[in-house]
Amino acid sequence: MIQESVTDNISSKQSKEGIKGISIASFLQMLEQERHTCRVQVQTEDQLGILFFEDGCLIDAEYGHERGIDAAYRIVSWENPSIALGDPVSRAKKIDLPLGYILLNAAKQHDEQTKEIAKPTITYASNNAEHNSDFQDTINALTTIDGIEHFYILDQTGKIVIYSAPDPIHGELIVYCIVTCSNLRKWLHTKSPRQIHMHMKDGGSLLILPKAGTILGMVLDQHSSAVEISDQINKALSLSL
Amino acid sequence: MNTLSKEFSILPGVIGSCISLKNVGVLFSSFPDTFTNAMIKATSDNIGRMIQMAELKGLAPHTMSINYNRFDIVAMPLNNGALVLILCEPGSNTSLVATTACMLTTELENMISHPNEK
Repeated sequence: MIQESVTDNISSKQSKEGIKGISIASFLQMLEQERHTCRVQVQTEDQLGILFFEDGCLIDAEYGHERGIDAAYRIVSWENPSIALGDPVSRAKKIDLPLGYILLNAAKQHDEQTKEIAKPTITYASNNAEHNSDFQDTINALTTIDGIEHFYILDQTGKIVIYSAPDPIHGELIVYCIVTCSNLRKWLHTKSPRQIHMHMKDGGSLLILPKAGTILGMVLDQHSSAVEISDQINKALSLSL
Repeated sequence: MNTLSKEFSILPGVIGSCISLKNVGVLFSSFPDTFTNAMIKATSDNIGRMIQMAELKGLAPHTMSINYNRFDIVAMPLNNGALVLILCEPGSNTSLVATTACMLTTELENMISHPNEK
């Protein structure tokens, strides 16, 4: 098996000096699959932690004064660490959670922290605080839904009132699309458009949703589905009404 | 063109398709008869302008879908200035339709460049 060859072929020299270039999650999953009993020393430039495995199960972790699950969460979240295998030591079991669960939770926590850091800067076209506060529920919905890189909120006249993009290049395009599609409905004998979605060659897209009294324009990332985002916005806005 | 039109028509919810060329007009259409040539031309021109506007803004639009209450429209610009429109029932899987259109891009472009070749 590939996994067996990876961990079995790690020479004792590499084990002592530390292995680099492999994600900690992948490495620990290999230890789990091969039911290893060992000590794993994980090190970054300024941090050192130890994970204890018994028969492929993570039983304890140690980081500074922390022990058990808290230390484990901290260690598995480190990026590009050096990993070294050590001889097993007798250790009481302090962790009962499966490794997969711990890795998944650590990844989720990491994503949430990254999202907090990447919160967009919101620009208000008007200084009227009362007017701007009318859009707070919409802003809350747009900033909490995953997959929306930037958003624009336009009023009925097509004027941008709030946007989160550093450069509002999509603003005019959103207005033009709404005006053109609304004009087109006369030719097609139908009502105003419910949704306009322009998919770009780089995988991203522009989603335009006319909502009661406002027009929402959203720049979506490559992995987002317009249908899912649209559903989430509808749910979020209907709850806030 | 009929062969390619059939590729779209087998997709669930697809009502018809058409191809128009800038400054020439509608090259082919399998839209229902209720859609006059003028309606199809107006639709193509308007959607073509939205795509052009996106390009002017430095974006590279690949496909576009517009959802109306009576139907959905999927549009895809081709490299030779042509525009493919696919008319669908409301609530159709426009993502699948757009992906299928993208897969047929080369064949569509060849067919427009060499209309008499099979």
